[in-house]
Amino acid sequence: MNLDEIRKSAIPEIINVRDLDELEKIRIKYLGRSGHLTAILKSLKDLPLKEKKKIGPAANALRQQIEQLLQQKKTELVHNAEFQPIDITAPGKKREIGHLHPISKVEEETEEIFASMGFAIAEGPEIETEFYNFDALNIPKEHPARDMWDTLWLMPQTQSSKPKAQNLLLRTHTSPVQIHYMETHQPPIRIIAPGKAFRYEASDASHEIQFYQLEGLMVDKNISFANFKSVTSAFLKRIFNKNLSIRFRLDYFPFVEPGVEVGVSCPRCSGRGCSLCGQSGWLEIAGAGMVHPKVFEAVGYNPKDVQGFAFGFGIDRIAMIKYNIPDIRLFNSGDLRFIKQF
Amino acid sequence: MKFSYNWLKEYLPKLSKPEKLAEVLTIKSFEVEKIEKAGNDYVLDIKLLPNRFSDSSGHLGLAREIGAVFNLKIKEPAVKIKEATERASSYLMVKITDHNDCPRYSARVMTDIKVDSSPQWLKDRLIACGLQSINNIVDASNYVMLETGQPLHCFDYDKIADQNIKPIIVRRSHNQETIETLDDKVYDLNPEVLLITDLKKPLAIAGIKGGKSTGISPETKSIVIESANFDPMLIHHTSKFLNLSTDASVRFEHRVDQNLTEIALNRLASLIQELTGGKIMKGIIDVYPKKIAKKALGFDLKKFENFAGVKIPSSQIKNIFERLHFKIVKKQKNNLILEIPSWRLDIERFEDLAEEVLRIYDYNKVPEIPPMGILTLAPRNEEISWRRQIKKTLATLGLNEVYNYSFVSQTDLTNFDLKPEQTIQIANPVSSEFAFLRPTLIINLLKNSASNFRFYNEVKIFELGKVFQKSSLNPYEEWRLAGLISHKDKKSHPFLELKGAVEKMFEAFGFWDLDFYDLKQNPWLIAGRAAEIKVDEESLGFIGEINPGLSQKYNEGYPAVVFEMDLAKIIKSIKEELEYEPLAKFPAVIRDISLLVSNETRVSEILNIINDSETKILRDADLFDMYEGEKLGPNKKSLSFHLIFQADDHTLTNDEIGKSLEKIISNLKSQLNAEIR
Repeated sequence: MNLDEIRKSAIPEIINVRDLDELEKIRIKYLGRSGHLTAILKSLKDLPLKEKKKIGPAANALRQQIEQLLQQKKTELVHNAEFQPIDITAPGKKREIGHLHPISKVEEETEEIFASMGFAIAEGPEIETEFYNFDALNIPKEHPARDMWDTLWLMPQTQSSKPKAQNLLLRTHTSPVQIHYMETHQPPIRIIAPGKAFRYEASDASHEIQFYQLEGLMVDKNISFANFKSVTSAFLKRIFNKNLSIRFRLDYFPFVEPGVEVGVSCPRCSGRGCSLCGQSGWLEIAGAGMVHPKVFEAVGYNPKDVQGFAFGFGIDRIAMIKYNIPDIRLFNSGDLRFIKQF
Repeated sequence: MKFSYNWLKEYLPKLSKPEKLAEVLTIKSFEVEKIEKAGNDYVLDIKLLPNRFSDSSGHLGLAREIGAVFNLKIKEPAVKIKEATERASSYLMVKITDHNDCPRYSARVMTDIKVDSSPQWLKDRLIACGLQSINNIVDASNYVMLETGQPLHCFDYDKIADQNIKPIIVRRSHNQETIETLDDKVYDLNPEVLLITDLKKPLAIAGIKGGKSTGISPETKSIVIESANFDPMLIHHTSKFLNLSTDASVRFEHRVDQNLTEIALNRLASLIQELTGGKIMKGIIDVYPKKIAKKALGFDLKKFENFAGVKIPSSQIKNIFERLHFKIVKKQKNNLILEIPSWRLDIERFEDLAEEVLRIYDYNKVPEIPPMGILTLAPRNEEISWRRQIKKTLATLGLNEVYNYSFVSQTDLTNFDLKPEQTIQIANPVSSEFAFLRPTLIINLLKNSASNFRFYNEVKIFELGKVFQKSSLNPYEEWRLAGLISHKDKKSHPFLELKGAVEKMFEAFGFWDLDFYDLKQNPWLIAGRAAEIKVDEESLGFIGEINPGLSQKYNEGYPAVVFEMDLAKIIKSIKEELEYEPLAKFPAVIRDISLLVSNETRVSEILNIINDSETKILRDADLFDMYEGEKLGPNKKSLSFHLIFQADDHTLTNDEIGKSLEKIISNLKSQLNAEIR
């Protein structure tokens, strides 16, 4: 091989080589002890001076060029070996994290919305007396209206059967928190009270013996029915994050007058009627109204001085609508297939 | 309650189509739950509100309500009575022992009637409303009840105990008295039950059901028609006590207008006469000692505007009241004096009138107006915010949040060695699974674990919720935080995994001083694999592995590690801890040591020796590797620690650190016989 031939074959070989072993073979082929270029360099001493002067510098220049290329390629190949390409389409390595219960999520979101409207959060006990759960809320004993709340009663603690002793129960709604709060605070009042409530009933896809409510109460001198509508609508529009129709209709609860049932247009069928809404196009989402004067009397307010509204939303109901959950019993199932979706 | 559309249309000729009627009624009055076509009629299933039975449980009353809602005039049926010359009072007398039980009792006597089957139109009406046809007399009574809302009853006059003038006595039952009702059932009575009786026997359970002895039969010739009013509480109580609810009892429980007895009585007498001929004896036997006065209420228009938050023109308000038959007896500047119709027993005060105006006006037409007031900062509920943060931290650490029932069973209590006398029992549980309030979160977490093993090989869960216990005076409830890790793979050790999660949770809040002490006497846990979790000598709760007996029963035999802590104490610890510590000015130096010790030596012993050996410049000592294996020789384990040296006031020299290390190593050697590797 002459110099020209060496140049023409060595340079593309080096450029195209893929690994270090091949590169070494190329080096030996041209620059090794019996390499093509080495042979030419070795033969220089036997050439006439004129030839020597002509070929010598050219051969050395080619050696330098090849050595430089080899070095460059070697660095490149070493670098490539260290930084193997990554399959960026492979799944990421995931650190396992747990999931919050959907009710926790909806509850927090709910609390944030009301907090932004200046509502404080209050809480009350899950075991209640008849007074707080019923009497103070204008649901007197022996009143047929009490049957609207199927109650889980506690076994009397002691056997001393004093007739005056208060019967204890599991609260059937979060409304007793209104009473506790008003007994210890003066208007203006703006609170919500999230929590568990219990009912004696057969459970099915939409009924549970324990469920989650969000009580609300706003009381001052001039809090009106129009204000009630505004606060309720603002909350519903925010929590469902879409433009649902909201409907207010007459209902009866002993602790409010006027009494209202709040409904939203069924998000599954957009009000056309489906199995979720029982073909009515509407889902009941809250019971509400203007606080009854007898409730104000029970907490020691003068009903002439104050007015306001109260509401009770079903948190589970909101979660069911928001996430399209078909069965309320899933909430208490502890089923990770369910919880891990949220 | 079922209503016939055609029947309503009789009173309201311009009645809207059933669908339209249902739609508007649902918003302004009562929810129409169903519309069903029945022949040429429609049956409306309407959920009357409990306070409106008194005026709307009859077709006439409901028509009145619909008339008000749709602004329609109502056509009331005319009642024509042809009385005989003989007086009813020469046949019958009525005695009421307590007028609180029975404020009014009206009765008529009819003779020469003929019991037969009812004409088709009457049968159709009853069937549409869900009642059965029996005979013309009974059917007519039911018909008038469905029309007016007043329950009525007919007795066979000839079967009432014989006297010159037969007495009907309204009295409480004697002890051990019984009655056989029309449907052949026998009820044991007590003095809580009000009866209609003659001198010898009970004739009916007042307001609930008639007795067999005086029931109408094909042979009946003369009848007594009863149209009475009874104490709603008493009827409610009796109906519950006897577990007997009837069309009559439901109406009485919800109160009936006392003025209605006479109206309904005349209507029934005239209907029976129309159906069978028969003679109506002259006059009504009417015991009504305390007449109900007419009720008037003021309605302050200014107050209403403030209450509603919207100005409705007073002409429109007046129109609404007039449509509802509320007579405006006086008009002052901002005040209307209204006479309330006797059938509206629910109207007692301003707010009730405000509801009438707003609902007929339409709740949905009231504008939404944001409240105006002083803008105050809502107080923050710290506890709720801590709870949220704790939940999120545990989730970040890989545990999933579950919600469980607040109940456990008797079997659970037995299995967990919990004493029923310390646990709160439900008097009327839905089922035996839900008989007691949970005294711990652990039981239900274990149940969750087992049920999830159908789909998962490992379960990592936590719950934040209330537990309940008896205390000397009242039952008490407290918030607890509990968690569980369980693997199907029995080789893994979830104890340290769960302990790590607990520690990390505290560290997330800047709290590093959690102590773990041996817990030997917890019956649920394996001794030697259980610890009490403490902060400054105060116990927060426990962590440990569930004993094999319980894991067999609850977790399909898989080992499970659980913790449970008092939430209030957790919050107290982390709240107090959050305080800034000055940043270190001089660099820390880390030296690692590995030692070979007997495998019974505990990490805490080693750490105690290390910490006691150097109290000045040793900032921290952390275990980073623990190894047991055959290579080390029998009963040996190798432990490696990072020792972190740092001083507040200077950069440490190698010499200082060397001396300190020597001291530590020599103490480890002498006290533990440790081999430094």
